[in-house]
Amino acid sequence: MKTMGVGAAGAYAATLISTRRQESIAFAAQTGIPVDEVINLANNENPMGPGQPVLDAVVNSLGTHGEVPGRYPFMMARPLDEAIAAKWNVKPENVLVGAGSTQILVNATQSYTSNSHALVGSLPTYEECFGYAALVGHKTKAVPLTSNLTMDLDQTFYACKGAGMLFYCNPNNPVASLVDPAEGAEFIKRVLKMNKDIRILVDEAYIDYVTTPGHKTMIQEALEEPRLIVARTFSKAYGMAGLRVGYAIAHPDTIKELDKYNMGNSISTLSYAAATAAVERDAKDASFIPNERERNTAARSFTRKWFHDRGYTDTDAQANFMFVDVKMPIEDFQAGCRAEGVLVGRPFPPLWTHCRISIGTMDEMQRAVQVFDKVLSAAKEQAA
Amino acid sequence: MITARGREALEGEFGAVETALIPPPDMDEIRISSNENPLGPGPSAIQSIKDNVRFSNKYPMNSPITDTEIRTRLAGLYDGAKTENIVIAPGSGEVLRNCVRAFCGPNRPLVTGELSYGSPVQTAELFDLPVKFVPNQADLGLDLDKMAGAAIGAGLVFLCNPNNPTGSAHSKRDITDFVRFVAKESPFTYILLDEAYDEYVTASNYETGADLALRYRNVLLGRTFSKAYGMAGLRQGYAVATKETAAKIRAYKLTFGANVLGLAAIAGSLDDPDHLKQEVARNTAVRDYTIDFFRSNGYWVSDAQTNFIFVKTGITAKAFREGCAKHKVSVGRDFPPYEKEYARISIGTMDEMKRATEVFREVLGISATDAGSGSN
Repeated sequence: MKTMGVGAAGAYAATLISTRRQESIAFAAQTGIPVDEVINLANNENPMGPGQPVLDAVVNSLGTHGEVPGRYPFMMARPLDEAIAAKWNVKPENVLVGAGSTQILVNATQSYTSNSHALVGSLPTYEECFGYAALVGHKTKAVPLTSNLTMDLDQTFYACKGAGMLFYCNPNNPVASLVDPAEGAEFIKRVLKMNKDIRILVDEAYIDYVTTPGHKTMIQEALEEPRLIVARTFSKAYGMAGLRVGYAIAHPDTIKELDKYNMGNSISTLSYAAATAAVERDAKDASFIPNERERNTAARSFTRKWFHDRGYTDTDAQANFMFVDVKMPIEDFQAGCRAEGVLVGRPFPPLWTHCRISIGTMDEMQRAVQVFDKVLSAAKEQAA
Repeated sequence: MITARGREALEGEFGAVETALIPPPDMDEIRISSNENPLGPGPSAIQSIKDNVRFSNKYPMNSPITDTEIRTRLAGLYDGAKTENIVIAPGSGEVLRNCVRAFCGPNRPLVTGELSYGSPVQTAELFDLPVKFVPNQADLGLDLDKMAGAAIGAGLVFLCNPNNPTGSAHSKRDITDFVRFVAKESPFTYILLDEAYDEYVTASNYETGADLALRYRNVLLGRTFSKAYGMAGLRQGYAVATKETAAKIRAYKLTFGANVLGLAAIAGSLDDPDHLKQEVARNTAVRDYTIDFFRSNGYWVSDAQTNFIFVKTGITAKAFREGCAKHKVSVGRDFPPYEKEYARISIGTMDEMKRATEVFREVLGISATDAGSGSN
């Protein structure tokens, strides 16, 4: 079976985490380029932000004299739970808000994996769960993607035998690929049937950017199946990465288990105000997310086509980032772009010539491709 | 959702009453239950939040005020500290939790005062880690000698100075002696100095233990912006430690950590140190007024160095709390085993405390003419 051992996966997670830190340090060191002039295509942020009503809600939440942030935020928790519950037509007991969906991912890994019950996920995938499992010494099984960089459902199915939790990141970060909607639904049913103890954490961080017909959230299934958890975030399409809010939707019993590890209150009053305002806006005017998806799709299509026209291959990107084989060492490509003020994604071993490129605004992408052209051409000339 | 367990966690941090009742917003309510700064952050912090709200879409490492920059600025507050010595956290609560996780084990207990801030104990219980409670001294201060004895072989000593809920502070000399003793007798035991209320201390023999945290591998300092800086709602705190020790707790940090607007507020606050001085002076005056009210009526009050006091009301904390709640004054939760006769009261504004003391007078049956004669 093509799974990696605990040690290898742990080392893999540790490497990626330290790489991520280096990236932010490197960025901070770029003092020569003001923040507003850097084109940041490295962290899958929404370049447009959360929209004026949300920003207004943040400022209004300060109170007349700025006194509200002096108070602990516990009174603001319930309104957000209720707003999210209303949005999905579920009960507040089905909702657990965390400081970013990262907190949900960590809680689930803590709750459902152990030194005997492995965490299963793709290699590569978003590393939060693997990083945490490595930190606390829980068993991990990382299943390499197929040759076309989609989740290997057959191998993942076998890896789930005796496992504690499957981390099912769909669309998958960093590769941007989506599991075929019908195959994915069938796969999840099969895994739940085969392993009666397994939990499946469906990370839908990027679902708002999916354009594949027929793809649906797993929220409805999670309400009925206590072993299924859906993680959502306000960091991506909602444009609030800096405010650190995400949530889980699951069966009330599962929510209670996850909540056990949601120690303390790490969410700011301003973040509560923003997230609540965003969800309440959706209730009145549902156009924000479709508009953001449309904007992203146009910029994503433009960028993908630019690479296709020059003979580069990529995955069928279904997120606010794409994953392309730049046919040169990713570290060199990254460094070359950085020197020109464009930040692209970090290396995702073992895919050493692939680059994850976040989708900025159309204007940013039009400028960024000129930098890509320069860096790729220079590498070709050097090779020739 | 606030499920039973989440509520328990909240209760640890904020008190059972606040979370159990979750009162609707009420402008008349005097909330002196959670040791909050009633005025909130200063104008420069608020302006900084407004200036940075448009960067809400950026992760903390990409915002104009990065977490790294804030670490560097915080390091600047302490002689000899560098960026690597600072660990930012969404509230110092994360520092407390992560110290327990990083340093305690099945055979390495947490040592804490019986009457002290309860959050580390909750973390230990959640992860099935043993806890050794050390009874407080007669004046309800932490018993440092007994804690030093209990520290031998322990994973972590939680040393809250000034202590919550008593507000009592130990001298720099006592803390230094404690650190030296533990470092010598039990070198694998870590000490977390929680100085959440440091800024409010007025006792002349008190001083921060930051230098100890920078000098001793086994000492960490926990600090917060929730108290004197007025940012309880913004969730910002940090640890100071040697590079190696900082790395040990950093490993447990929640990824991306502190929110960008909280970081912006820190930057704004550090630009205006005079505001902090004003807040400390304001709190001292109101604290003196409140302590004087109780003492002049014959009540024992702890030597509080904080934005709260611990009073021997002579009635149960529950009766006191419920009596005060009828008058829209919300005071602190139970602090077992002292809940039968003691209450913790946070310091609000002078106007709030003038109104609150009238309520205390009624609840405790202090007649106006009794003032100064001692009723208890």
